[in-house]
Amino acid sequence: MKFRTSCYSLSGASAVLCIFAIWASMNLDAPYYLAFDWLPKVGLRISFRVDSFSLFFVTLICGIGSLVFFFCAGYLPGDKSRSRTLSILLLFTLSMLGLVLSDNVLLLFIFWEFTTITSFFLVGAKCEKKEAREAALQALLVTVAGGMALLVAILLLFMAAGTLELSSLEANRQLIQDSPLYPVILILIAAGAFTKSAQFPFHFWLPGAMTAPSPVSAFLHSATMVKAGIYLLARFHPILGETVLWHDLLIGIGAATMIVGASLALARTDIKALLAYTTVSALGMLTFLLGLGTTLAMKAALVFLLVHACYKAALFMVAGSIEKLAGTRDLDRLHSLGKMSPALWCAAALPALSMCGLPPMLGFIGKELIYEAKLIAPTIDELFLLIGFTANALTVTAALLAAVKPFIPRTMDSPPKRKLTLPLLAPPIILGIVSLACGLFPTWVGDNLLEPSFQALKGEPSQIKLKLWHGVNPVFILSVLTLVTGALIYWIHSYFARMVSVVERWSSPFAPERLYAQLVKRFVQFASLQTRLAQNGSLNFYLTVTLCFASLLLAAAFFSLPEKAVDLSLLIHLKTSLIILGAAAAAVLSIRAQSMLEAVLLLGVVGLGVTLFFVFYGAPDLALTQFLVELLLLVLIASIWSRLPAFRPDTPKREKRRDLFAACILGVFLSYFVLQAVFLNEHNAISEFYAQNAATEAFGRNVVNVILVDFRALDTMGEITVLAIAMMGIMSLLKTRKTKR
Amino acid sequence: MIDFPEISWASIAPQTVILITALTVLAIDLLPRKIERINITLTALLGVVIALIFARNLTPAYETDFSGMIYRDGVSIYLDQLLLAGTALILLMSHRYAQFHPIAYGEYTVLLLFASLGMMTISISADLITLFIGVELLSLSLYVMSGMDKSSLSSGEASVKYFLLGAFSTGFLVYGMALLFGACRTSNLVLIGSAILDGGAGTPLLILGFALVLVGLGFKISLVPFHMWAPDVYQGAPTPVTAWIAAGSKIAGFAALLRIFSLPGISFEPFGGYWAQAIWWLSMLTMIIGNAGALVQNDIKRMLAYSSIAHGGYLSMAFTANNTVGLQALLFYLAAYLFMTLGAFAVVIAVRRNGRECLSIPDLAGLARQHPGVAGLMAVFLFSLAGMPFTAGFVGKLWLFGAAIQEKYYLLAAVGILTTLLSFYYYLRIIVFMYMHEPQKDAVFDAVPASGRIAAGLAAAGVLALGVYPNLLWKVLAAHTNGL
Repeated sequence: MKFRTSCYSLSGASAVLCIFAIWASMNLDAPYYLAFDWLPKVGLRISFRVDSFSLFFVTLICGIGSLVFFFCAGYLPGDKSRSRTLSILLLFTLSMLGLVLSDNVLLLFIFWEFTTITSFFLVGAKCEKKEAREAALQALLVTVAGGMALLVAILLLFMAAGTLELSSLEANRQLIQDSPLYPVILILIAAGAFTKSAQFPFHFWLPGAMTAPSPVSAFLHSATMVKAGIYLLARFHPILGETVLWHDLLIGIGAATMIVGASLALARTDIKALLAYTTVSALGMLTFLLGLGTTLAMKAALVFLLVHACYKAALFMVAGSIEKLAGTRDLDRLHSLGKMSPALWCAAALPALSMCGLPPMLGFIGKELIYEAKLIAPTIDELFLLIGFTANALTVTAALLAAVKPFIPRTMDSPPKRKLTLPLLAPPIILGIVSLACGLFPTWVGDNLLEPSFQALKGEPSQIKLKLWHGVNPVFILSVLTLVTGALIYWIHSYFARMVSVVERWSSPFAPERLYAQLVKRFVQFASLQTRLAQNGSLNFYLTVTLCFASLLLAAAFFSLPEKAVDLSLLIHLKTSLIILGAAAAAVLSIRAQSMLEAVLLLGVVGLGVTLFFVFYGAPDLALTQFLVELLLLVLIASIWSRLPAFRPDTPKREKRRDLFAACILGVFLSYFVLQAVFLNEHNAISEFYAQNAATEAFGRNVVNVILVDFRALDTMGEITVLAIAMMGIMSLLKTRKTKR
Repeated sequence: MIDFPEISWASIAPQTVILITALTVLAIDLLPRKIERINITLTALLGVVIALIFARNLTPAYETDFSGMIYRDGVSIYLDQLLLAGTALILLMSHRYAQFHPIAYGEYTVLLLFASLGMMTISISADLITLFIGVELLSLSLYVMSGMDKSSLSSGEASVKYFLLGAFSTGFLVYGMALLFGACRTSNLVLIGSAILDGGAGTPLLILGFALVLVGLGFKISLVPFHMWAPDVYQGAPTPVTAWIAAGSKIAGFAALLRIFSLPGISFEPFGGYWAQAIWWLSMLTMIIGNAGALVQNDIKRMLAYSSIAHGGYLSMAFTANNTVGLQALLFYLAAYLFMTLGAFAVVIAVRRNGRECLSIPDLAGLARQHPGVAGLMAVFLFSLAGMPFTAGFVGKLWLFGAAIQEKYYLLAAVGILTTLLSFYYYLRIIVFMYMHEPQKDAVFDAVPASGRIAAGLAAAGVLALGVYPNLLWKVLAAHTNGL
């Protein structure tokens, strides 16, 4: 009971908001702005713009939303996660409202991403099913990819125009269109819109997302979220539109989507999948109209937006009710539903009439306008007219399939009547009545809702009156032909469906969903391969890689040096060369050592060589320190001698060769750079300073001591702390060993 | 009498307080009577809070102090506060963790404080030697801490691996520093800066020195290809230690990079051209490999390891962009990164089942049903890591990408954005398990303790506050970066 109450109250609130939006749209003279700073450094302001075009979308969102919430009260009870679904639906509604009201593009993007995420949870609402989870993830990845494209476009837009407010972008239109970044911006924004609005070749996520509960599909996948892309394109039309690229891109993609969606729809036997593909086709139509961009086309797009939202949401709800009623959505198994529930048939029939475009529904006016726009558009081919015609005819067939076929009895015996609850029936019937009423009184809708929003979008009145009856003209003839063709195709639809399936099977290797799946699979394969190869747990290998890349860094530095010659005169000294040779020989021998003792001693010789260097080059204190360190190391190793494991030089040959290579490369580069730097040794500023000041400033004659306890006292203290910690660490590790034994 | 040079003790007050706290805890722990864990935690927390208060009240003095050993500027004050906040969170997490794992808690706390002290030493250092001491203090403490879980063999393995590879990278670092010293005849960073300005950055010794320092520090912040220790160590080390390696050690590594490569006076100068190019490659590789690696992990800690690698790539973008916006973005993102990473680890630590850690991702199945609050917090952290709007992660990424695009590094920004897309895949996977999967058979999660709730709650507050109202930090950063 409590759940129903919350559904009803949400529904009521949305309805109030919807009516308020209509009232506001009628009375709004100029856009209303609301803004405050958020992060001005990156162009992020929280700024909203309320104009009639936004309000048109608000009306759609709240109107359909109100009915969907009402529908939920009948559909969702019995679902385990119903409260969660309802609250996410609410979140989604709010994000959608934010999206259409924001003036700042970045803010718009933020709400855009929120609709994506909330829709992810809504599509995955029946999460116990694996398909639902996969479909949710697919929808998410495709739309997020588009979102990322949009983000890049926004950043580029900021570079090109220096502002992110839609209202000021419109003023900078020329600047943006002249910018060399213009094509990139346009393509990226279009990519964002196309993924969201399920345009070919990104359309496949929408039918997949049909695992969502019916109210969700009615809301997200017909009326609101998928229209967000269309909203974006419409908003950007005054900024980026009316260029050849805009025209070709949108018309091409729109036409392809139209025909692909409509044909694939007929090959589906699941009602919701069928409806989803017709939605894809309708969205293609909208994109096409925006691509045309003429006054008539824009007006037609607005009308069609309203038409489509009304009939498609209703039909999705009907599909949900059918599932409740018959337990299946399979068209091949559904029949005689008209006898089971006449009320449901009535709920399905009205929207279906609008979808077919029969007078006196609003759908008829929409279709007339679209044909008119196409006929008088100066720039398009007859081919596009044909495509539009075919898509429309196929839509008629789809409407018949979805809303008539399941209700026709196949056998004579009548199934028992079943009553559906009011929340399941009322919303689609209301939507049907709205379509009818709008069709009967087109002037009212046109003047109060559509015309203001057109003006807000384009900045000038359209001079187009909506009328139900235009008389018999080419447009009307086309409409009638569409209906007849549609009905004919319905007659032979099983053949048609088989044909489409064959083509689909034949082209399946190139189908975008296959490509998507392949892409995801390949990438996961690549990821696991690289992890397996690179992260094999061998320290030896990790070190080798580090060495190699360090050499690479040095190699890059080497090639950037202007002067590559090396002064080798230092090596010519007898003493030096002897020491070097000795140390090098010891180092090489230590690699081939056969016992631990041998290896340690040979390394000691290397250290001794360094000590000798210090002795000969006037740093006896350093020499002493170096010698002591070498000694300390030896003592340390001796003290743990008994605990060390046996010495086994058992590295495989291949690894040895690899290590040798890495070591040589790094060695060569390091030596080279050190030799390059030899000339710097002439300066002796540091030691002189200490030698001069040790006695006078610090009253000590042993310079090394003075440096340690006076000049660098803080460092010494730090070193002592480090040593202390090191000791503590060693102690705790040794203690660990003891307790284990 | 010896004349003491002018020393402003106030400017190292936070460091001093931490040192005293560490020693106090050490002393308490040595008392013959058995000390309750809670007392140790509270003592340490008290010290951290006092240090935080000191740090908050510091005023930046844009000159070197302690005979040129430290430099107290706005950035260091900011980083100190971050590190102290992180230490407090880690203490809260460790308290709970030590209840279930045989860890010598007193020593552990001391080492943790020493590690933080090391990080804070890096943030104020104005001399290569001070910086090196900081790096070593931090590294040695963490090496030991990773091996402190005596019941776990992999903890020991992690410690040894971390130590050996770390020692090696320290070798690179110290060699590089020695060469810088040789090239500029001073170890003072400010003087090195002016020496470079006088003599140009192209001399071979300088190049070699910077390259080796870059390798050494690249290891600390686990830039690809110097990242290979990270997944193994993250997985094996006790979870709170992993958290501190992921957050603290990385922040400290970037602090060191900032100190060396963007010094007062030279501000990013050595990075002009050649260095920007080197970091460009490293950050590209890091973003790609880090995100690709995270994609296929099943262990949460390993996944977070790769995610932390990937974030290192995003962060290092700032050095390529090499402008003020980039620097501010870097500092902001460090705060965001701290809160979201520590928050995620706090949840991982807080959630246990039948007394065991839930470390594989499927273990979390059905968490939302039993602990909706904790699952919600985890979702916030994951969304932030992925860069969802209204979280700190989004603002940070936006800022970083913006900085890169401003300098016309389009490819870098594009790869950043594409890899962000990838990251949605693996972060959401955890959310899918938490929210959409049925719990495993007869799996009952243990009650979540107050300390875990507080730690995760605080971190979430940070993530959301920075995400919803970034101005909170923006003004601070604008003031602090003025001196650069």
